[in-house]
Amino acid sequence: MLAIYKKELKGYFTTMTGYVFVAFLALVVGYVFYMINVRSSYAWLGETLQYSYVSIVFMILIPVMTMKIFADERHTKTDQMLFTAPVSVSQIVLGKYMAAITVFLINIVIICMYPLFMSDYGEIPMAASYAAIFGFFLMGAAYFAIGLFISSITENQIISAVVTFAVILLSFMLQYMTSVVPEGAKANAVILGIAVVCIALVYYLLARQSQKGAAVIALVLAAAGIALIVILYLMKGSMFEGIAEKAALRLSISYMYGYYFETEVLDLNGIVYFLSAIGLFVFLTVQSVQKRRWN
Amino acid sequence: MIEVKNLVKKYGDHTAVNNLSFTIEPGKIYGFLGPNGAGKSTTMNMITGYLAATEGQVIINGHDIYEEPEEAKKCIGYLPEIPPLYMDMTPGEYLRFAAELKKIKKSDREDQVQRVMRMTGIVEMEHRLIKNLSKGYKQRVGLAQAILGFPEIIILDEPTVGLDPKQIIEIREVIKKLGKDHTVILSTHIMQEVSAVCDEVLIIAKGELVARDTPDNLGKHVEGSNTIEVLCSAPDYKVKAILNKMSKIKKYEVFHATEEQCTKAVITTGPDYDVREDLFYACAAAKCPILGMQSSTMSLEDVFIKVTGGRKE
Repeated sequence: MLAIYKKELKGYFTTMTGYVFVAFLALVVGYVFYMINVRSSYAWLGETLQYSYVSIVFMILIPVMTMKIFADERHTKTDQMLFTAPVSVSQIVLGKYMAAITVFLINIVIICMYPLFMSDYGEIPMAASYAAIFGFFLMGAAYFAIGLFISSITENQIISAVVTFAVILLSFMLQYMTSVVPEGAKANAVILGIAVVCIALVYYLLARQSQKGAAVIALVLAAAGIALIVILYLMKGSMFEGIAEKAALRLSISYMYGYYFETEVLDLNGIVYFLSAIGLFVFLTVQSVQKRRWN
Repeated sequence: MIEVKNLVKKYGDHTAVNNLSFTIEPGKIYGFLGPNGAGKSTTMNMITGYLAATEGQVIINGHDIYEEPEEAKKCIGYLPEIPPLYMDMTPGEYLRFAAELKKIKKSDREDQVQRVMRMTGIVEMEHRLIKNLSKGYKQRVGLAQAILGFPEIIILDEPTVGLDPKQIIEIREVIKKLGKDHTVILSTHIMQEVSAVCDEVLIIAKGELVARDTPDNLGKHVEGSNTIEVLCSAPDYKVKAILNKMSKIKKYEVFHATEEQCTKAVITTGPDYDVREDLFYACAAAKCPILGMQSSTMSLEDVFIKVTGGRKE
């Protein structure tokens, strides 16, 4: 794992990628910091970090960092060396993920200096500021995990980058799209039903080659899900109210960052939320890399 | 050492490898022979654990490649068809990374890297970027990576592709040297390579093992293997007349030779009859001087075509 970590980290800095990421992110965060905290003499750093500019810059920079990770290895066939070496797939995935995160940590170190700069000029909520920076780090790490996963499902860097961009953009936009989502219980139950059918369909598409009777399992899955929704709806319809809106907001990573870390109170739920997102996507990456060997 | 049992690989509906079983003994050089698309690379990828088999088992030194991949992979060095090189690295960096990846002890790493670089002749390229190297040198760097750590089994997928004739001979020497205390499996469709390097040949066609023997024996297996080429300084009708008289000859063909006034004949006899002496006296009696005579047992090419071609129906 260490070998891959070192090689990847070095790779970011033998090409321009690492420098561009660090410099550009530092520029944008620095600019927002200057506008909000310095010029307006505002002591709370959390406001800066959840500012929309920062999310937008992530949208552009994360794909640049993650597009190569697996797509390029697969394209140039260098993955044959990694996957025939005495290293497990999860070690390979973790090594690569850690390397990307390490580059991001450079920015975190820079941001960690901001509260210190400000402390010369007044009272700064130090603990809260560092908690917000920690949350910011988790948010970035979650974005990296998404990029990592997307890179593992394609062998084309461009597709990998575009899809990652689109996913992060969608995640960012979801928080502004809640006004068009219906609130009524009936509509939400229907949306949930459609979601269940979609999940069953995805399962079928993924498993149809390796699993016998995948169509039957998918059908049973969809039918059971819909039946459950109908029963729950008949029992207590009100519980479906606003469920789509909640889901949309939960899927919006930048919104969730603001939600958990904007106040000066450290919310453990926030940490759990981001860690589970990271865990989920790293896990999915390992699975998707494993699956590729079976096709 | 390597045990392959009922290996099957399906890509959708297409069967790339069909029920392949063989064992590989230690300390020999094996040649994997087959036409394009025969399933050589797929088989190698499955033995090394890069691809998972649809069915069947691969056991390396007692370790199942799917159950205990790390233990099994430690015993293997692999050079895939396309050498897995990172273009932004120098061979030195690349091999040091490979050494660490292969979990070679830190104290041995530098020593081993230097050793494989000497063996493959890339010492003077150590500090150039791999992307700037020629194809031959890239291939050597890939080979160096496979040898690194001196694993018990070294698997090479077409190791001499893209090399110039001098390099091919050098690399073959390296492979022969390795064969002394390692098990080497190499795939190729170059026949001379097999006869020059391998102790045993496995011919694969359409994902199935069709023949397995030493290169010499394979030639004998094919009937009518006793063939002789004769160059006579005489017109072709005269040669034909002589040959027609010799009853023990099974069949012959007569060509115009490149030398003027000369005729070349290719004579095939049964395996237990040596035609040479009789031919000499027959030609001498007819005053038709023999300029050259050469026995050509059936080449591996012919065996190969015969064994793999018969499968087409």
